[in-house]
Amino acid sequence: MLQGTLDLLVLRTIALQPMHGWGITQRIQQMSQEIFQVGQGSLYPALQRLEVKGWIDSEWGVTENNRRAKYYRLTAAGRRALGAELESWRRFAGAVELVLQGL
Amino acid sequence: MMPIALRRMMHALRGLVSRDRLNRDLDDEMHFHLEMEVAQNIQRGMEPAEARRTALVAFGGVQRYKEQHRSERGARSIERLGQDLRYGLRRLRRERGFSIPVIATLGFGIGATVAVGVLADAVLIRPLPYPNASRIVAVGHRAPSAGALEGGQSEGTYLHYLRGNHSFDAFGIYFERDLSLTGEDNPARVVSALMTPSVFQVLGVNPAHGRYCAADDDLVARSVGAGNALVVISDALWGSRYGREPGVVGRRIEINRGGATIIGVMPPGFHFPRIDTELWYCQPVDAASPGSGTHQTGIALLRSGTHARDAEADLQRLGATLSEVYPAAARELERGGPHRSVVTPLRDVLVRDVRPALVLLGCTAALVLLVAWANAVNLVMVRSETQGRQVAVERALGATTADVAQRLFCESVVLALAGGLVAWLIASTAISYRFGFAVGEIPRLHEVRVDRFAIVLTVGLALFSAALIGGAAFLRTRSARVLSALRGGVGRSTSGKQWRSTQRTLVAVQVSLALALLIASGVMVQSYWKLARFDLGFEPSSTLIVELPLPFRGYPRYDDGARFYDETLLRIRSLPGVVSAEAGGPVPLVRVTGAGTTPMVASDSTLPGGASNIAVRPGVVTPGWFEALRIPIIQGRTYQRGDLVSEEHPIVISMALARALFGEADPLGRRLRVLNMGRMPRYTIVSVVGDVPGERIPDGPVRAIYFPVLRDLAATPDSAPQVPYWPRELPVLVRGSVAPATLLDPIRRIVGEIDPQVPVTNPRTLEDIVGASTARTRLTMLLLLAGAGVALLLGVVGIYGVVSYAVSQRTPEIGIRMALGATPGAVNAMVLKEGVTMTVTGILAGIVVALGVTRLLRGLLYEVSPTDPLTFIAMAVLLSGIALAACMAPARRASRIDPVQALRAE
Repeated sequence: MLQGTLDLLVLRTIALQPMHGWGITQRIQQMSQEIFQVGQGSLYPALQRLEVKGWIDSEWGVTENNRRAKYYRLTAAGRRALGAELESWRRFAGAVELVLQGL
Repeated sequence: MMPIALRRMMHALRGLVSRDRLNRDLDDEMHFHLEMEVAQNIQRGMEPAEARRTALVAFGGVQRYKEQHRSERGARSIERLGQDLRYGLRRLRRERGFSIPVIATLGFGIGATVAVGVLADAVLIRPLPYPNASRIVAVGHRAPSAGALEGGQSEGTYLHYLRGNHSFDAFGIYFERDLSLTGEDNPARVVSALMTPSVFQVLGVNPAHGRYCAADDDLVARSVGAGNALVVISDALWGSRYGREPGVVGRRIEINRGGATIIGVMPPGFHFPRIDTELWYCQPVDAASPGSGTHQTGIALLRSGTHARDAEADLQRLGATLSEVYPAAARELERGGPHRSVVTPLRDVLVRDVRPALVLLGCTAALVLLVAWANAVNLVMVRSETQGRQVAVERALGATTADVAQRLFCESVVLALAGGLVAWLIASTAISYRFGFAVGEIPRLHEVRVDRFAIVLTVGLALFSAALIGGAAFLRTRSARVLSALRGGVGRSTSGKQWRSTQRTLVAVQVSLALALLIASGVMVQSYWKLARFDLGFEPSSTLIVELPLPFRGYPRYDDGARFYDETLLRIRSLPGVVSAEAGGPVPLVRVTGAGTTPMVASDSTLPGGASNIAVRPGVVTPGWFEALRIPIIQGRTYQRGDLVSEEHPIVISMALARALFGEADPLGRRLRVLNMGRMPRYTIVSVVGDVPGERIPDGPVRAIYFPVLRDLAATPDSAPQVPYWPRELPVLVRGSVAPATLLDPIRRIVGEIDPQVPVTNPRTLEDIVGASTARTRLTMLLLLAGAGVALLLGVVGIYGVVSYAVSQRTPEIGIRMALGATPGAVNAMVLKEGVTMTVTGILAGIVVALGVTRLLRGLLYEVSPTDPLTFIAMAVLLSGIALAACMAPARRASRIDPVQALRAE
C-alpha cells in the first residue's frame, strides 16, 4: 500500500460511524474487495499517529457481542483533514492517470 | 488549535504518568484484535488451535508493535532516561578512578562556594532582622581634620536634630555600658545599652512580654535619680537570672545599687546592638538640660522614600544652627575640629570590619570553583577519548546523536549530583561549625544557617556543573569518527590534537588560578607571621584579668573607688602564688565599651591651639600597673603618692603620643592639654612609657594618656581630683607564679568580703586576649590556605593527567622516534616540554590574576605589601617545581618505552 494512503483509508472508514481496530481492517478489506490486507502492525501505529494529531478520538465501548473494544471516531479537525486529504489524493490519482494515459 | 509539538509533549507526559494504564489498554486492544481474528478463522472452518496459530502469525511481532506504539506515544525517550540514569550510575561505580576525582573536585569547588556564599549572604547582604531594616541608619559625625575621628551624638545634638529633621520617622540615641545587677546574693554584670525610648521605635521589634519604654516614659525618667529606672531585659537574662518566672514584668530590681523596674522581656533572637546585650535601660533625654558628651550612638528610621544622602544633607543644614540652640553641645562636638553629619545604613556600619575578609573569601571560593570546573571538564574529556570506541559501537548499532547525548548527560547528572551531595556535606559542616569563628568575632554570625538559599545554590551549581561536563563529554565524543575509532582502538582519531590543546588551556587556567591563590595566601601567611611575632611591648604570660566594676551609687566619690581598689589589691597581693596585682585599663588588645571609649584629643599647649590635635586613648591605672604588665618606663618615673593633688598635675603618656606631639624633642616637663573632657588643667609630662597596641595590633602603637589611681584624697574625700576619669570600672591584673585560673576563687572570696555587691566578671588570661586578637587573621589565613591547597592539588593533578595521557597516546610515535635513534634523554625532554609550556603559560597568567586578587587583601594585611615581589617570585618558583615534579613520572615512563613493544602494539 502506498505510504500515506492508509491514514486516508482509516479516516474515510470511520467517517461514517465510530469503529474498533478490528472492524476497520475488516471494512477496508471488504470495501477494497480483499485487495488491501491491513496488518495490525501498521494499523495501530497509524491510529496512534492520527490520535496524536488530534484527528481522531478513542473511547472504550461494547461490541454487539458484548465484548469490550476501543472505538475510534473522527473529530471535527479530522473531518476537515479528511476533506483536504481526499482532495489531494484525487489530484494525485488523477495526475498519475493522466501520465499513464499519455504513454 | 494546539501545535503538534505541544500535543506530542502532553502525550508523552500522560504516557509517563499513566504508563501502566496505557500499557494495559494496549494489551487489551491487541487481545481483542487477536480474539476476533481467531473467531474469524474458526468461522472459516479451521480447528481452534490452528485458528489461533494462524492469527498469531498474521498478527506479526506483538512485542515489536508494542515498542513502536510506545515510541509513537513519546514515552520511550522518558523511560530511557531512567534506564540511562541507572546505567550511568553502574558505569561510574565501576570506573572509580574517574568518578571519584570528578565527584571530589566538584564537591570541594561547590562546597566551598556554597559555604562562603551562605556566610556572605547572611552577613553582608541579608537585611538585618528588624522590621523595616532597610530604612534603619546609623547617624553619627565625622571630623575629617582629626584623622577621621568618628564622633557620636550628644543629647544636645540629638534634641536639635530630632526637632528639626524632615528625614526620620523615628530617631534615638544609645550608648553601651555594662551594668551590675545588685541587691541580690550574686551580683552580676550584664552587657547593656542605655537608650532613649525611641530606639525601640526605630527597631520596631515588640517585646514578648510586657512593653518597651514609650516616649511618655520621659516623665518617669526625670526621676531616675529616685530609683525609678525602667528596663527591658533579654530572653536569655530572663531565663538565666529570673528562671522564666512569668511575674518578672513589673518586678523591682536593683541596678548599680539604684532601683529599677523590669517593664518588658524581648523575644529570643532579638539582638541589639550586640549579640550578648541583655539589658536595655531607658534613658530619656532631659530636654531642659541636655548633656553634651558625644559618646552616644545615633540610630534612626528613615522616612520611606528618603535616601541616606538626603538625610545627611538635612542634618548638615541643621548643624549650622546647633551653636545657637545648644552652644555647649556645639562646643563639645567641635573640640576635635569641625564635624559633619554622616548617615549610613546600619548594616554597613555593623559589617564594615569584616567586609574585606568576606569579599576575599568569596573570591577564593569562586576561584576554587573555577579550578574545580576546569579540572572536572579535563577529566571528562580525557575519559571521553577512551570512550570513543564505545560511542562508535553504539553509533554503528544505530544509536542517534540524541541517544548518545542523553546517555552522556545522564552520566554527568549522576556525577554532578554526587558532587553536589559532597558539597552539601562540606558546606553544612562548615556552616554548622561557623567556619571555626567564635560568635561575636564576626557580626551577624549567629544569623548564618543552612537555609533555602544554601539548597538552591548547591542544586543550581550542581546542575550547571552537569551541563558543563556533559557538554564537554558530548562535544568531545561527537567529533570522534565512527570508523577510525572502531579500527584504531583507544581514541586515536585525528581530532585528538585539537582537543589536547583545549585540555592544555584548561590546565594552564588551573595553574594560573592556583598561583593566584597561593600568592594571596603567601602574603596572608607573612602578615599573620608578623602579627604573631609582633613585639607586644608587654608580657602576657601567666596573668589573670578580672573586671571589678563598682556600682555607682555605692562609690560616688573619687576616693571611694580608689580606696576599694587599693584595699582589694592589697589583699590579693598577699595571696600565695601572686607576684603582682594592679588595677587599670584599658588592657592592650581589649575592645572597650562604655565609659572611656570616647577618644580624647590631646594638644601640646606650647603650640598654637588646635594645631596638633591628636586622638588619644585614655587609660586609668594604679602606679604599679606598668610594672605588672612589664611595660618599660622609658623616661621619668611612674605615679607616686601626692601626684593627684600636686599643682604640677603630673601625667604619664605613651612613647607614641610623645613622638606625635613633640617629635624627637624631650617630652619630660612639657605641658599638655586634653580638649574634649570638660574643664581640665594643663598637665605636666613626668614619664614616657613603652608602646603597646590599642584594640588591634595593625592599628599601630596606641597614643595613650594614663591617668592615675591614687589615694591622695583619703584625707579630703569630697574634693574632686583634676583628672577626667575616675577609678570605677577597672580591670584587675593578677600576675601569678601559679596557673592563673587557680587564683580566681580566692579573688572572688576577697571581693565578696570587701563588698558583696561588686561582681567579679569576665575572667580571662592575658594570653587568651593576645590569642583572640589575631584569631580572625589566623582564620582568614587558614581558609585562604585551604583554598590555595585545593587549587594547587587540582592544578597538579591536571598537569599530571594531561601529560601522562599524552604519553600514553603518543606511545607508538615515541616508539618510532626511538627506533629512529632518539635518545631516552631527548624523549624525556620532549615530554617535559609539554608540561613546562602549560606551567609557564599558567604562571604568567596567574601573576596577572594574582595582582587582581591581592588587591582584595588591602586592609587585611599587616606590614606586608599585597604585591610583595618576594612572595610572587617564591610562589611562582614553588608552583613550577611542583608542576615539574608532576611531569617527571610520565616523562620517565616515556623515555623507557621499548620501541619494539610500542611498534608491535601498533
